[in-house]
Amino acid sequence: MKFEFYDSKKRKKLIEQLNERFGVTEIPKLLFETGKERVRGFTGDLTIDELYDLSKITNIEFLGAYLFKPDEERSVRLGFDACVLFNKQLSKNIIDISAEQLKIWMKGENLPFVIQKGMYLVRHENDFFGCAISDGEKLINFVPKERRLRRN
Amino acid sequence: MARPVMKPVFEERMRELLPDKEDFEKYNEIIHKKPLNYIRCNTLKISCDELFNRLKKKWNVVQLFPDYPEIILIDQELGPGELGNAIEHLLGYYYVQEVCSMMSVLALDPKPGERVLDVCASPGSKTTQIASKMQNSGTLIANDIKLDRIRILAANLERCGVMNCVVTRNDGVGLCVRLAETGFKFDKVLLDAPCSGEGTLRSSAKTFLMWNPKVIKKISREQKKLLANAFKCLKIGGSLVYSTCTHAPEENEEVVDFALKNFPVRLEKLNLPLICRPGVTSWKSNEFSKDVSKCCRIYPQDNNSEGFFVSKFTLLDEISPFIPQNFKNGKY
Repeated sequence: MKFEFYDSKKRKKLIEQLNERFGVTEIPKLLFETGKERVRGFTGDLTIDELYDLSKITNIEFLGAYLFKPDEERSVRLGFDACVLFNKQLSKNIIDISAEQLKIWMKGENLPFVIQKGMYLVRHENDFFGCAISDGEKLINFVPKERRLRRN
Repeated sequence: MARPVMKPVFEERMRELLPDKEDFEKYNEIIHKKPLNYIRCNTLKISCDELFNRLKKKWNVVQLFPDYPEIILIDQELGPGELGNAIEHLLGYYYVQEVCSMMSVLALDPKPGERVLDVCASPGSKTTQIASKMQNSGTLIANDIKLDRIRILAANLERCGVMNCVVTRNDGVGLCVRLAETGFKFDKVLLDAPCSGEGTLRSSAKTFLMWNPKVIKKISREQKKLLANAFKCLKIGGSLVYSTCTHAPEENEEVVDFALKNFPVRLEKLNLPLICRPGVTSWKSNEFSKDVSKCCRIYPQDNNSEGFFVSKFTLLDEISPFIPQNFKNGKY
């Protein structure tokens, strides 16, 4: 696994975007990209130098957890699990959906929903179910395949 | 479908381990029943109370162990895939895990801020349990040897929101050697070793067919090699838990006895929330150290669970580069 660690400037910019769009201000100290334009976070106490030392003696396959995907047009997208991990901080651009809509959403389908274009958080009761991009008429679904409800 | 039967040699061995006829009959009866549905609350994402209150609206749930509210029994029949397809599971609020498999991590007792190594981590039930106990702090290194198994491990870590983990792909022995050589030492090490799986008959009936006595000796040698090297990554005063999901003494007490005779370690007495029987101090023609009675044998008929074995060591001194007894030419 190749890591491109975020410096303080890049981290600050990400926090600004997260705060502006979703109200998130506290994120893991160590952030890095892995080549898939995905930002992962590591909360372990190993330093960057120690991680490099470790990578010299062992095959590191994964590190930390996937949290964000930068989006040039629409600020930043939170991963499905990041929405759960940061749920207490999430306060802006939240779309509440009904139980019926949740069933459709969790099957991986887009939801007809008229709202201004942009990135939103999807919530049912107190649970967050990832991010959605609105094209003005529908919410585009990003629920990962392995996390969707299986059809009976 | 015909009920699977024990191979004669397996039955003979189990009768030797369970000499009381009634006890053996209870064992032979329960291993043909489906295991109970246990889940473990993932406290990285939700509190035990909150999860319990949610789940009791849809299932009959019980927290059997007051000291371990994260362990929840779903005390009812469930449809196929019902546990895995529940919204709470998809959100990573719980992990489906057999209760006896949770015992290794309870014995290890990882704490926030510690450095922990999980040598044979996939599919990740114990790794996610460790991360939950560590509250995503310290550092957890989770290793496995095969990429397909690592993908399953990684998916489970993501679902549970584990952020303090480094997932590595190496053979366990090589990894431990290299970590030790470069000075990476751990407060806690979990060696949940690959084994013959005799304890998993209730969830995996194919074990009845696959069981082979020749494999046990071979696995036992590999387990000793793994354990010998895992000790090298431990800080002095650190703890190592060695566990398996088998009843075979060659893979359990014999391995523990090997460690006691060759390394500066102390075996700890365990206090687990399941009924445990002491480790056996002799098997076939072998006499083991009396200390191995501190190990914990978990039998299905005692706890309505699967079968398991847990032991816990403390490293007392630096490990000197000596050749352990019966360790020459890589043989044990």
